[in-house]
Amino acid sequence: MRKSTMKKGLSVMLTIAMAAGMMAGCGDSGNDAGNTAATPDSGSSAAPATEAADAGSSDAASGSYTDYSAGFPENVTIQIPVYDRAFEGWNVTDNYYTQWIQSEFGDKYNVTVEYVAINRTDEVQDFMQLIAAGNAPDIIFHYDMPSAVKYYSEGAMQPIDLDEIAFYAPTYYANMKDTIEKYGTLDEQNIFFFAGRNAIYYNFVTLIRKDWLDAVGAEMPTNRAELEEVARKWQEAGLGTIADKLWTGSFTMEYPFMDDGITTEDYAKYLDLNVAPFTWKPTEDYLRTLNAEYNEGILDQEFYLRTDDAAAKAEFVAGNVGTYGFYINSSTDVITSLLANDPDAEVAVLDPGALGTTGNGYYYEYPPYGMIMGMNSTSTPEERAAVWMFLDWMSQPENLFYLQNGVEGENYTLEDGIAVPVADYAGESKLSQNNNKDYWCLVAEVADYGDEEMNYKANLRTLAPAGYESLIEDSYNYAQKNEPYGVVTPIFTQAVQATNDYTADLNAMWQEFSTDCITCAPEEFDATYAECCEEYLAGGYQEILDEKASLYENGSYIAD
Amino acid sequence: MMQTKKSKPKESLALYMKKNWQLYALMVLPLLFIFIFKYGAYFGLTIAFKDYKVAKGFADSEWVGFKIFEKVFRHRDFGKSVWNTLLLNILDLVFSFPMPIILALILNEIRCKWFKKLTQTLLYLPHFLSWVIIGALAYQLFSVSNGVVNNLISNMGGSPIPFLQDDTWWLISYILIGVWQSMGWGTIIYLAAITGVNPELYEAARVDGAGRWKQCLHVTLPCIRSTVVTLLIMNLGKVMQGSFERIYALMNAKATEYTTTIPVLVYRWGIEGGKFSEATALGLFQSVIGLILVLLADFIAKRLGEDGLI
Repeated sequence: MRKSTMKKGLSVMLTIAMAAGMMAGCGDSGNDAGNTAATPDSGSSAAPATEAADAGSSDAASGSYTDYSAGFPENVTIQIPVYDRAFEGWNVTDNYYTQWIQSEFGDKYNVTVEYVAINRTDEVQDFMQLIAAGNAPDIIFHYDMPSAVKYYSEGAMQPIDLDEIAFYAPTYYANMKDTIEKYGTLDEQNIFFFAGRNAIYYNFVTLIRKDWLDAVGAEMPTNRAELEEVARKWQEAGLGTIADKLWTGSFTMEYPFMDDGITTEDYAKYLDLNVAPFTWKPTEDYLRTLNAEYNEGILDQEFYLRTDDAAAKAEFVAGNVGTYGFYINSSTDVITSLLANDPDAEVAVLDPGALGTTGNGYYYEYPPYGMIMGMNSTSTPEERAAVWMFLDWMSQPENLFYLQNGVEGENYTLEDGIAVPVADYAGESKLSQNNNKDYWCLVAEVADYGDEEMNYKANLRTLAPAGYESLIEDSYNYAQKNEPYGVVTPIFTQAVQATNDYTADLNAMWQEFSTDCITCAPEEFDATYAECCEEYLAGGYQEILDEKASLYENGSYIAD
Repeated sequence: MMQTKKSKPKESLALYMKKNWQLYALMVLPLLFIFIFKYGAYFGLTIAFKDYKVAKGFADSEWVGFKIFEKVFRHRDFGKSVWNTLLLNILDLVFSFPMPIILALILNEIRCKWFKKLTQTLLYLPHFLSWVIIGALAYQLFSVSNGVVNNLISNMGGSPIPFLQDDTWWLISYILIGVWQSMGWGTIIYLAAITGVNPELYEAARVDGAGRWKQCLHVTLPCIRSTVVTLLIMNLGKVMQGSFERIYALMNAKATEYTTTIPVLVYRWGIEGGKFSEATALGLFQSVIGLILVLLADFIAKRLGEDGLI
């Protein structure tokens, strides 16, 4: 008897633990609530300052903030999140650079900088648990706007005071003022602050088997019809197929199928990296095209089993498919693995236009900001000040450059003003992945020499595998050619509530429906697609579209 | 006797405690563990009745009564998930439950000791494999274009079979892989029960002229009947649960008819969607039904003259 009750109890427990996983935090929730309740107080103490600033006198504003430039009278601890990408031999929260930050910034201002590791692949889960337990870091961040808004909707972020940032972080604020003012408001409050981004697009390349093109005597395709023609020839010659994958997030598959007649309203309604615009015309075109290719046998017949990059890469390396899209960098193993399998293999960069019907390579254009950050609702005024000062310190070019490149003569050598990494450097000041980006992503997303040509030269070294510089050159040229076709996702200045409710369900539906639509017989496509659309709309998408449409009508959006 | 027992309980209890307090002190720790981590956590169930916001915590989130349950019950996948959970688990019960019994009976008849041990060990092994590994193996073996089995079939001139990429085939593969994974482990309990059968019964049966088959049917099986019934009741309680990893490792976007089950939905809502209230409500619903099923099975078993669990 006891056994069975225990079993029952255990199973209930497990279900709950799985759903919430935050039992340990429940004892703490009292404190947490206390802190949350305290926030309006701290907000109101800052309020007079805001009013003063509104009155027009910036002197009055700056006068009302305590100056900590000589250091805090009492030690302040700030917690900064850092992505843990789980690779060997690197302690994300305690390493050469975190120690350097502590000694250069922390000790100078009497601040303890504590890093909090956030698992890169489960970041939302990690943040949610930290927030629930009242242990969330002072900065709460995400790369994607709808997800950042979700943290705000959960009540995890406090409104920020722009004058306060301007006072404590003049350099940072000068860099980011326009972005923060333009994109940082939500529900008419200043919520977000940002890292800058001088985006590059030529680091995403789709490789195509050059030797296969040559074998069937084909030119580089420039639109989908030509790509299909190439694939037909491959099929006849017994070579591989066109690759695709099951899109499970970051939905951008419909971009190549856009055309120039799309209104801003449609962009605002349909574009969302987390919710697939299943019922939208470009998506329909994408599905229809793939349906035809699938039935003809020129598309990977098991594309729906390729759910992650490793699976897609394996197919390309094994010579089953002739294309593979990925973010290239000099240490990629895809080319060496391919050559190990097939010594005669050659690769070239596929024209991005070749993926779409029109040949115009429409693409996801990054917003002018990188990391989207919010201030933890439980952070005190001192902690806020310390965070602003930290951002300002990191914004100083010499500090940023050190974080990005390490020690001169050890990690890199300067050539024409460009830091050239020393190959295979393994000393104590070894950089983390991606040039320490996870540490400096708070102020910048892309290393920037302030000059396009210098940037390109520097990127050529970090992106191209040795001997394959031409890939980056080609990709750069394609990116230049496609520049007019970038589409910036409009963002809303209010939270879209329905998105939070339905994203997970719609994602599951998308995976099922898109596979159904692509794998059904061509003559059944219209009926299948119509049926799926109806279910998708009923499953919550209609609510999202309606909510977005009404926000659009109210003008609660920002579009470029 | 009765009188002495009645007159002395307090005294003897105190004496008893004094004598054995160390044993009870030892037991406090596991008991505390159970109360804090097993029962204390029940407090979290309240979020099924609240509009839970992580930043507000358990205590400060707003009470909304049965609103979350209404939302869950109205959800388009709810009916489907309950149906699929029942279907998969009942099929599992039909096919996976008898297999260990049959296997145990067969193993029991093997006279060659080392062969019996070797077979047993090999049969246990799949139980120790994680479902993630089994899922990966299944796709290596059974996928249409690269699977070993399908390569063999097409090399012999047949057309490939979509073992995992067609709804009906997926269901069959799911059940069979489950039988393969669990049958060896399940035999342990039955083999132990069979060891306990009085050898005299077999002798008597042999004297009466019963062959091996008859002995199996009329001696072994009736002797392990209570074990079978106990396990059956416990398995009935699981009819509403089902393994999440098993489905998750074997599912793909092509064959989705039977993969939307309650555990999958709890994962999708709770972990992927961050809708903790809904996930908790669904989990609670599942557990309550599971509890009712166990009690029902127990009741029926008792009516049929078995011992039952409670």
